[in-house]
Amino acid sequence: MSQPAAHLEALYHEHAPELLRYLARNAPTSADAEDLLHDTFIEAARFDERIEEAASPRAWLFGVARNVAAAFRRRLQIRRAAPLLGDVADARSSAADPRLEQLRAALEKLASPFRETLELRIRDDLSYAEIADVLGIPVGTVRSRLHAAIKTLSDELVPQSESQSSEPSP
Amino acid sequence: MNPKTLDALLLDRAAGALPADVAQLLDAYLGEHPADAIRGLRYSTTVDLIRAALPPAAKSADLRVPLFPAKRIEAARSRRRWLATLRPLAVAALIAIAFVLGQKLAAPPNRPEPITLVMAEAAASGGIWAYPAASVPPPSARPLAASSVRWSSPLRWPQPGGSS
Repeated sequence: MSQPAAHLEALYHEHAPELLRYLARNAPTSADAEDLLHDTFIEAARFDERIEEAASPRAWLFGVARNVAAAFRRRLQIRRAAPLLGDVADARSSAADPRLEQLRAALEKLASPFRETLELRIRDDLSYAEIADVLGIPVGTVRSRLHAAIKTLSDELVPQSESQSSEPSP
Repeated sequence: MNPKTLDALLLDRAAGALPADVAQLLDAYLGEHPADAIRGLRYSTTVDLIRAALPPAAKSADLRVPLFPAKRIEAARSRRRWLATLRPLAVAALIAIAFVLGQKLAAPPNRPEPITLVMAEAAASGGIWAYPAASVPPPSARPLAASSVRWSSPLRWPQPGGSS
């Protein structure tokens, strides 16, 4: 096996599980997610030299997976409506903490760029720099989006009066 | 501490993106500022709740990582190599086609029609008022025609008579 192929296979064994989880959120079935995972690596194989040059191969692969998933959604003409809610229905956790329902409603209202950034950080555990690589935006923008998202959700959870009293004094 | 800076640090810590040494310093600061500590706790609680609301994937139990698609990747690579080989040939073929088409479709050169000198009747008749007749110099003063000058070498003067 050639060196790039061996390198790609090593990356596959290392990152396929998390990429598959990421892609599963963008595909209607697990079979589709598996196909998308293969498509991601076939696409990655076209750019061996870029994998070698990438500061973080993991972030680079997430970026490829994101593009592959976007192309898939375009093909299927499906829009990513409330993707965070589609696979998070957990009756037990909702019963245990009523704030979860409130939070899910707030997540649904969150603008797509903020939600995607939050998802990549919280769900996929990507660093700020990796998220910046995946989304093709500056690290500062990642940070400000993430801060805005957490603050918005936090304000939704806290009753209005309490929120006003806990605002920082200038 | 600047409230905006503090807020950013609290949010970074809640998101789990604060370096350990900075987190330690922040904890020391929050120990002395309980109001700010409450705000930090609120952000951390929010992130914990987001984590609970967004588990890795509910379908993860059904997900099994398929085998590495070595054959498909190799097929894609060989297709790419083929295309890379064919590309210069395709470019050469296009250039050849363009050249041939250019030769066939090119318009013929726009050559000027040969000028024919027509002597006016008056000049031919040699009437007194005919301009050509009046302007024709006597044979001795006429310049030599270009065809009657011989210049065999740049080292010699041109000699009249003969053709060059």
